[in-house]
Amino acid sequence: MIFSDDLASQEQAITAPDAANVVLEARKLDFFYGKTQSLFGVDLQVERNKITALIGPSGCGKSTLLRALNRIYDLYPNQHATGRILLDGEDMLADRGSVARLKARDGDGHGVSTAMVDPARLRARVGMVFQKPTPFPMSIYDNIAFGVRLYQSLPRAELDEIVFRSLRRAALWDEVKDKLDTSGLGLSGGQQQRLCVARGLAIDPEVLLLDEPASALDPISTAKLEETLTELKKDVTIVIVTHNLQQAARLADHTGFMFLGRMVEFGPTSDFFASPRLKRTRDYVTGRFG
Amino acid sequence: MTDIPGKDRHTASAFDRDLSELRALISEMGGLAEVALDNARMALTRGDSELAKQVVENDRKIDVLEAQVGQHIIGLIVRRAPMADDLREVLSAHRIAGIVERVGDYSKTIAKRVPLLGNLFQSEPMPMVLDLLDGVREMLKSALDSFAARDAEAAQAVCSRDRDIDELYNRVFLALLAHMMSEPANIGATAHLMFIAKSLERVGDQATNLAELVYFTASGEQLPDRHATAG
Repeated sequence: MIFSDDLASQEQAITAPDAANVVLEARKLDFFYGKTQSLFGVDLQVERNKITALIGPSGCGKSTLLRALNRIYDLYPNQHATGRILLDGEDMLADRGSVARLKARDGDGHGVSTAMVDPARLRARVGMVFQKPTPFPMSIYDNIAFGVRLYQSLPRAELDEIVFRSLRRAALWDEVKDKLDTSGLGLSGGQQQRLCVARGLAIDPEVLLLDEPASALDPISTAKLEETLTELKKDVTIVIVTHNLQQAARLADHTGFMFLGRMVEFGPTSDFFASPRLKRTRDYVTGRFG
Repeated sequence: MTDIPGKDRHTASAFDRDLSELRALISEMGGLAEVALDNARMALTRGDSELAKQVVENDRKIDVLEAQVGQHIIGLIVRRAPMADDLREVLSAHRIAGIVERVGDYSKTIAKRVPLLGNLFQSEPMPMVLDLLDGVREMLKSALDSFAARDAEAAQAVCSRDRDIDELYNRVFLALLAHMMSEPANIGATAHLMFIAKSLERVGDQATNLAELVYFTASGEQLPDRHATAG
C-alpha cells in the first residue's frame, strides 16, 4: 500500500455515514479524568440500525468514548466531557457545567441550551452492556423486569410479555424459559451476558453500547452473542468496543480506530480491514504495532 | 531470520519468518522455472533430446514446491488471520505459485516436442521462435524480480510489454504458416513448432498475470484491463 506516512499525529481518515442516517453523534468531544485529558476533539457518527465498532490499543480512549455516549461517567466524581453529544439531533450534554465549558473552549455555545437532560432517561434510550457480565442478584425474571418497573407500573401480563420478548431477542428464551424464577447468577458466563443484553433491551433502547462484551466468553458463547447482535441491529443501533479484530471485521458495518484519545480512521468495515488508508491503522490491524 | 525492514516487522516475529519463508519458496520455484525455460531453449537450439528429457523430469520439483507453498499458506492463514496487505500477499502468493507451476508445465510441454521437430532446428522460422522465447524469458525474470522486491513500478513495466510479445507471436505464427505452405513435407514438425510458439506466448501471459498480482499486493489496486490476448 502506498501510504502517506503520518506527517502529524493529527492525521485522520474519516468516512462518516450519511448524515440522514445518524442516530447518535459525538462532536469535537474532549474528556477529562480530573486534569488529565483522555479524549481530544473526537467526532463519531453512529448510523441507525448498524453496528459500529471501536478498536484501538489499550488506553486509546475507546471505552472512555463509549461511556461518554450515555453519560455513565456522570456517576463518578471528577470526570467531565466538553463538546456535544447528540441523540436524534438533541443535545445530551446540556447541563450548565457542560455548556459553560463548551462556551469557554469554543467561544460559542453552538446553540446548546441548558435544557437539563435527565441522564437516567438518556440511559434508558442508550443502554449499556459491560465486559464482565453483571446480572443482578435476583431471579432471571426480575433481572429483566427491574429496569422496566423503574419507569412504569405495568400489569403482570404485560411485564411477562416484555420479559419474554427481551429474552427472545437476546436468544436466551429457550435456555431459561423453564427457570425464570431461578437466580440469574446461576447461569453460565455466556448466558449471563445475554441476560444483560436482554435486560438492556427490556426498556426498548434506541442504542445499545457494549464494552468488550465477549472478552470473558468462550468461542461458542461468543458466536451466539455475535449472532444475537447481528439479529438485533435490525431494530437497535449498536456500538461495540472490542479488542478482537476479527470480531469487529465479522460484526461491524463501520469501524473506528482510535489512538491516544483521537479518532484516527473511521469507515466502512469492508474497506477498513482490507485496505486501511493510514499506515498507523494498517500497522494496528496487521499486528505491527508496538 | 527475516528480510523485512525494521519498521515493517510484525510484533510476532514468527509471522515475519512465515512470510519470509513463503517468499523464499516462491522464489525457489521461480528459479527452477527460469532454468527449465533456459534448458528448453538450449534443447531447441541443439535438437538435444536428452536435455529435453531432463527438463521434463525436473518439472516434478516445481510441483513439489507448489504443494509446499499451499500447505504453508494454510498454516499462515490459520495461525495469523492476516489482514490488509498481509492478506493480499498471502492470497497473491497462492496464485503466483500456481502461475509459476504452469510456466514450468509449459517448459515441459516445449521440451516434450523437441524430439518431434525433425530438422526444423536450422529452418527459417526458428530464430523468430527463439526471439519469442528470449522475450518471454526476460518478462518472466522481470516479473519474478518485481515479486522479490515487491516493486509495483517494475511490475507495471512488465505488464506493458505484453502487447509486444503478442505482436511477436502473431508474426511467428504467420511465419510458421508460410513455412507449412512452402515445406508441406514438414507440416507435422512445423505444427509442433507452432504449438511451442503458442506455449511461449502463454508463458508471456503468465508472466503478465504474475506482475499484475505483484502490483495488486503492493498497491491494493488492480491495473487497468490489458488488451485482449492474441488468438
